[in-house]
Amino acid sequence: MKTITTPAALYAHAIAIEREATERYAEFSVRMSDFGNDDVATLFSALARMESRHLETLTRRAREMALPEIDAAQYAWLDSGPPETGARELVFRMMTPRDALAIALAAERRALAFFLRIQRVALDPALRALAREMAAEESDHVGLIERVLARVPDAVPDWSAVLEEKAPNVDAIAVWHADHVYFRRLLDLLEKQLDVFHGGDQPNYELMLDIIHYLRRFSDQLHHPREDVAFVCLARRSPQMTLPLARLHQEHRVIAHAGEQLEKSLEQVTAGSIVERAGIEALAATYLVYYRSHIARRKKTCCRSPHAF
Amino acid sequence: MLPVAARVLTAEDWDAVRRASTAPEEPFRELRRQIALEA
Repeated sequence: MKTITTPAALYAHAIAIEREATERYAEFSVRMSDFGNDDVATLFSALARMESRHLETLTRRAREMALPEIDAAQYAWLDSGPPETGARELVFRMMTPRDALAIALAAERRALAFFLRIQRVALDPALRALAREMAAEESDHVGLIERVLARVPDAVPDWSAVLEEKAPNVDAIAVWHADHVYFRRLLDLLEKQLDVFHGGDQPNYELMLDIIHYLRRFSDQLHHPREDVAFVCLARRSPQMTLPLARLHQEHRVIAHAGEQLEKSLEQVTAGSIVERAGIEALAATYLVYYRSHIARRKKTCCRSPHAF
Repeated sequence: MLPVAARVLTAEDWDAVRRASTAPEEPFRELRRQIALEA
């Protein structure tokens, strides 16, 4: 066990721990998503964002310090081989959501034990305080993953509810972000079907319809109603944002209208009606442009604001 | 660092955001699984 005697050394180890956690959670999220485990992918995506924020904070605080060289490999969650090796690919292919959560829990517990030990043995009060702060962060993650693991045997864990138990406001934003990541993925899938159009082949109309169903229903019933209220609250507290936020709200209606037109055409096709290919292609392309433009504008509007979210 | 909105919007604001929709999420999880199978 390494001996840590200075805040700089503790920062060096903490940064290595957080960097590994950020990268692995992001990797787990992508791989779970690739294999269709979207609920777990959403959870890991939220955890990756939490770890990334913590890493940013630590890096900023340690900016003026001379950090010692450490062996970051000692904090690797998986084997140290390069990510593209066959063995590692096999690990991911065999990994169940529960396996991934167990790996994450073990890593978070190791980090917690490390910081608790520093807190217990350090002579420097500042070092003890720093270790206590970091241990509290890891303890939160251990608790969160333990709660999620306890729910995994259930048929469909409610990740949103689990996340909201911990920190309602922050995790509501993380879940929101995960929604946008998934929307972009669906738009990419829709674009692939458009490419099939361009190639002169028959696209998967059922898949296209499911994508539009999801984007329309989920957005109309859950995502946009909440986002619209958040826009109103944000505009009230930041009046200079009123106009750009009103535009975003207006775009929700435009997207809903474009989606409705596309959905009607796809329903006609899947019901066996003859519909002009060029018409569907134009509707789908328009919908893609509107939606992607809206996501980009939302990011620009909300991220440039001093009240970004 | 926490997103700024977490500090800007009040607990009352967030309650309003959550109350804006009470639609069940289960049907959407089913649809996500269906899309993952089809894609």
